[in-house]
Amino acid sequence: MNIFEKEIMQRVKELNCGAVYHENDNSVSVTFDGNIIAEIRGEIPEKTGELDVQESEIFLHIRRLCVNVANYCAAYENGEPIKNPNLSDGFRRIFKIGKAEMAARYDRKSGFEFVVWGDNENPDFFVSYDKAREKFAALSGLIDREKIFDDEELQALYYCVFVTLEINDALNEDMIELLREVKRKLDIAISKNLSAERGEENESAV
Amino acid sequence: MIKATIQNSPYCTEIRFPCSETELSKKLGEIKMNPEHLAPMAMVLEIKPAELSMLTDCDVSLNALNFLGKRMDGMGKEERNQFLAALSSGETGIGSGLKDIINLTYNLARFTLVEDTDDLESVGRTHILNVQGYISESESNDHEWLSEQGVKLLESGSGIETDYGKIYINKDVPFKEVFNGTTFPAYYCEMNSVAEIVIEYDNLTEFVELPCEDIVIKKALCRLGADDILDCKVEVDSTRDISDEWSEKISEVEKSKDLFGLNKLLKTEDILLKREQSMSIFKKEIARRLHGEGYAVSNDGDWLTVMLNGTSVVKISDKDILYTDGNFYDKDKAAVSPLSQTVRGIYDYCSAYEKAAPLVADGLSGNYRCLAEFNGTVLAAKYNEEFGFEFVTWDRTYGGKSICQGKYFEDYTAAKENFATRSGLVDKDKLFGTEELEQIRKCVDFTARHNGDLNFDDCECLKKLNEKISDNIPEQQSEAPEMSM
Repeated sequence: MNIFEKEIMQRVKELNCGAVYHENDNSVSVTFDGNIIAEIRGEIPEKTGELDVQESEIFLHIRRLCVNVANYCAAYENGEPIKNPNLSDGFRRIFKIGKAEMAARYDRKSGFEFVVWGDNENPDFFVSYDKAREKFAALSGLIDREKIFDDEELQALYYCVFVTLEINDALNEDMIELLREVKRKLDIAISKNLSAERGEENESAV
Repeated sequence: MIKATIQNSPYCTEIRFPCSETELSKKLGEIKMNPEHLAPMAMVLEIKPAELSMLTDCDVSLNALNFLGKRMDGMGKEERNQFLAALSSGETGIGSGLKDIINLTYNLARFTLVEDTDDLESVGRTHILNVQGYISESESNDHEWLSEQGVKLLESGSGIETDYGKIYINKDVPFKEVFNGTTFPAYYCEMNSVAEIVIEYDNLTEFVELPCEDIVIKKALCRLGADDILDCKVEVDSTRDISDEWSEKISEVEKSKDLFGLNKLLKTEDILLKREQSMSIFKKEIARRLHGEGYAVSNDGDWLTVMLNGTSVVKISDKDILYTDGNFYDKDKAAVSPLSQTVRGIYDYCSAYEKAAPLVADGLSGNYRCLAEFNGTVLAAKYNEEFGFEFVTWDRTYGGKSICQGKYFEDYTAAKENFATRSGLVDKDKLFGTEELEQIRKCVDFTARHNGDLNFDDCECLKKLNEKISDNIPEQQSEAPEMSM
């Protein structure tokens, strides 16, 4: 079993799915509620047949998860070992811009751990790749850190847009349309953050 | 860089190499040694990188350690990995003394480091480049031959596993002794040197770069075993960026042997040399951008001078430092902050560009440099003296040799943001445009004013959010009148 297969079997648990590895063809079957809903071969998931609405939604999450896991597994496997007195052994560099660096470490038992640090900043450790990348983007100056909202802030923004849409009678059609689009985007951002959070929690539990 | 804890029992101190002679003298003083010792030795208690740990608990020459630090500083990333990989393996037969380690820096061609064994062509290319020191155009284009070289190397079975990849010993390349353990080989690395001098005595040779601290010359004489410079042969090896008149003056040292006198002259009269320094990209870009924004800018050698409101003068150094001299009036203070922000922004992309390697991609025209690459997305920049910078993000094509889907920017911040979302570093659903932020800010404001259920903490939280959003909105929009929400 390669790192990707091992990792994906662990990560599908976040979606309340189970996973079985087949040695004969190196595939992973993903089950939900006892039914096999996807087969993953060579990092690509395929539906196993007709899926109901809930299963289809989970399948979409599996697809996204495969891309994400494949990305960080490849980044780790191509990364060079790093020596940093503030880090324990085994970390490999994934990305570096200026003085900001992101590295990953893999352990067959506990899975992946990511770390991000910059000039004069202590290393920040993450189990979620999404959170690590986001932190790196801010630390390296690619994105102004003021432009990134955390979970609490996103939820507060969602609430404000929701309240405005509900009780502000002075909104015209264009503004309502624009705010609905913003609300939808906030909803997606919150759900993505939640799934990253779930990853952190599950890994911590493991 | 080398970081070491050195001891002159019972005193110890931490020191980084390479360092200046002044710094070394200061550290010698800290461990109660003569700060002007010409051949200081100390015991190494701890050393980094860890690959140098064979020096731990040994008395080593601090001059030699400093020389090694300079050699390591001059290495590129690949050379450094190659060096550390060769050092980390006990099977490479290099030896464990400081002399052997310094000699290794001159013998890296004997060791090919393979980090990725999957790409045979790349393995072959790395190996040929390492062994030959160059690769001809016909060899470079002969992909099959390069792959064969890669296979040959990998199948030799002599690879030694290290933390950096597999290292192969090229037995046909002899390990040469360049450093004899006493006098240092030529290694010119001082950015500001004007002349390189060769000193010979009793069949030994030393090299010094002028101007330098006098102790550098004294140490060179000490290593040669010469009591006096007059007993040595002195030759000017090379000179840099100086007028013929000065070149002649420097050559006179070959007869007079007054090296200390010449050194003093070069230190004190450096201004007279009028070294022709081309204006850095940073300064050219500052001048171009600030002219465009209506500032009066002039170049006066070390500084760019910017006139604010026709009265106050602000000077900008090559390292983005702004300073004001006597010609500055309090009324212009407010104009410094936006100028400072602009300069900071320009410095960011100029320094990133100057440090970046050329972007290599099939069919790419124009001199682009790769500022960052992640997950198959490239952020590149091209500089033109007349038009300034162009930034672009691309996707690598399958196989990674070419690029496609270019998106072009004049604004570095926008290019970075596009790179961050396009490469997947940041989810684009989590970033909001100016118009979206403006609407969100109004919603936050509306909720704070009209929702009576909010407690004090909620209101404080919304106030902070409002401020954060306002910081993200360009000034004109954030000051736009409120809509009837």
